[in-house]
Amino acid sequence: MTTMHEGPPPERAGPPVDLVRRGDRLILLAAVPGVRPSDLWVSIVGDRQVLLEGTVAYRHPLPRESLALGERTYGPFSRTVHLPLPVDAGQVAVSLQDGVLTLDMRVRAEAVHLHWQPREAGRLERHG
Amino acid sequence: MNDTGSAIERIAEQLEALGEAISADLWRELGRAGTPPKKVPQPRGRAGGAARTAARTGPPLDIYVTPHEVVVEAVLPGLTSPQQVSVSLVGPTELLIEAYLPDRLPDGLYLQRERFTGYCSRLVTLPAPVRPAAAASYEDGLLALRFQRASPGTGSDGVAVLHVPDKVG
Repeated sequence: MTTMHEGPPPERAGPPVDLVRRGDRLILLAAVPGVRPSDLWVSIVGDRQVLLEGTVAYRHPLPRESLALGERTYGPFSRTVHLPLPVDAGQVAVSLQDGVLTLDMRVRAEAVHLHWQPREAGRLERHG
Repeated sequence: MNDTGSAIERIAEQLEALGEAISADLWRELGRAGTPPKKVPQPRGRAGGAARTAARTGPPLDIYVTPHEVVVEAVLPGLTSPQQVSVSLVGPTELLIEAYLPDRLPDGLYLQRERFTGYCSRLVTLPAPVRPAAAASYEDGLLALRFQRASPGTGSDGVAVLHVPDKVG
C-alpha cells in the first residue's frame, strides 16, 4: 500500500483534538497529559487556525533507560488545528485541567446560524 | 504434536502483535501526543526487572523501581472523579488498571473527535513484588501509583536496584 504524499513525521503530529459546536461557541479539547501550563503555548492564527505548541517534560527521578517500562512520549510537540468556522481571537477562554486543554471560542457573528421559520403551509400556493 | 510449547509461544507472539496493531489507533491520543505506539527497544541495565505486558490495550504506562517502591504512572487525561478509575492487584506482581474516560461535552455537536473516551483497562506484570497497598495521586492527567515493595531493596529475582533519592515535595 502506498500513500499519496509524505505526511509529516508522526512525532510532529501533536495532541489529539476534539472540536465541538455549542450554540455560538466553538470548543476545542486537546489531550495534553503531563503538560504543565508553563510548558504549553496556544496561539490563534488569523481567525481559522489554532496553534498548539508545548513540551512533555520528563520528571521521573531516574533516567529513561532505567525505567522498567517506558511507554510515554516525551519532548516537544506542535500541531496546527484548522477551524471549520471563523472565531473571534479576542474572546477565547483557555483552561488546562487534568491533562485536557479547553479553548472556548466565540464564533464570529457572520458565521452564526440565523434563526428562521419555515413558511406556513399553504402560503406559497396562495401567492403563486 | 511434539512441539506444543513453541507453537503456543508463536501464537502468543502473534496475539501480541495483533493487540499492538489494534491499539495503535485506540491509544494514539492517550499521552502519546499523536504518536502511534512504536516498539521501543528496552535497554539493558535498567533498575528492576522488565515489566511485562501481554498486549498494549490500555493507557500507556511508565514503571520504575526504587529501593522501597514500585512506581506506576498511567496516562489517563480527563478523569473527573476517583470513581472513574479502579486499581487492583491480581497477585504480588499483577496489576490491573481499569478506567472510564468521560465525554466532556455530551450535549455538544462534535465536528471532530480524536480523543479517546470510554472504558479501557490494562493488565501489567510489575517488575518486583509489592504489598497490596498503594498511594495514588492524579495530576495533569497522569495517575501515579506508588506501591511498597514486598522485599525492599533486595536484588532477588534478577532485580537490580539503583540508588534513587526519595522524591521531595
